[in-house]
Amino acid sequence: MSGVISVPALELDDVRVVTSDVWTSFLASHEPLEWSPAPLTEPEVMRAAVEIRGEWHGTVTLEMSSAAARTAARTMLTCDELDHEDVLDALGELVNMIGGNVKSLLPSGSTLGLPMVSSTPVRPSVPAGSTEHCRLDLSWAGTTIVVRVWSHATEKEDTPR
Amino acid sequence: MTTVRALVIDDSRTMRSLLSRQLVALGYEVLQAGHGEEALEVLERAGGEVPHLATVDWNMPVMDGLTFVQKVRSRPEWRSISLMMVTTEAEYDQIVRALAAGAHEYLIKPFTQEAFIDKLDLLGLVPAKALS
Repeated sequence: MSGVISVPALELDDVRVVTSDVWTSFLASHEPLEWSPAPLTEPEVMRAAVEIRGEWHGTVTLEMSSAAARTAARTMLTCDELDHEDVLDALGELVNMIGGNVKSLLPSGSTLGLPMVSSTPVRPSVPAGSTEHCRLDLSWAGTTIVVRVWSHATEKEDTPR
Repeated sequence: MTTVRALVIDDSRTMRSLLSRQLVALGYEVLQAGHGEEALEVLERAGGEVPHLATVDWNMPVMDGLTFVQKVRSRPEWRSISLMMVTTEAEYDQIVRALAAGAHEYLIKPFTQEAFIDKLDLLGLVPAKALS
């Protein structure tokens, strides 16, 4: 049978603090992150994901509008002339830092994958059967960004009775 | 101090750019590499002018940062290089592994510019003109 391993000791506020630390360190020239009541509705959305493997197996995703992603990349690179690869890379580094610090809150021995970034308007690239453990909707640069932690389904053998 | 040289190793061009910018502002000459193997090639080509400092990401394709540190430490001619891990790996066990492998300092991402300079200062690698 398959099941989902719950995330031990990981609270929504932990993810908020981690994300705020990343923003404060590298994107402080813009307004701080705040809770957002508005959903992410922009037609062009970029999505970055990083996988965590270990006692718990899951994915951390970061979603924002393409315009916000360009603003983030411009700020991090302090450069107005950006190509698409720059924006992908900046978004990947942001989710890498969020994911790495989320991992540090989990039982030791977990490993962090390399970040993946896409700009297609599809669901996050998480395996079928994954469940959303927590979701942060935050406001930044005039738009909404979304950070989610997903627990992956794990195949388990039935225990004979 | 004569010209100080740094090698910035990270698979993220964003992070390479960010660290390089801070080092150049301090007076460094900066080389970059996208993973450990490329960084080893840079060191081989450097001959007698190896960098004073290498900042080393942990999770990278081709060759990770921990392997890079181990390989640098196995080469006597590269012993003068100060190695600073700059990584999202934040667990105590990982920090101990990196320091045991030969890293001199450890900086966890995200970090502030002040924290980065503090680490450089601990290594004695803040050029005098940057402090004046």
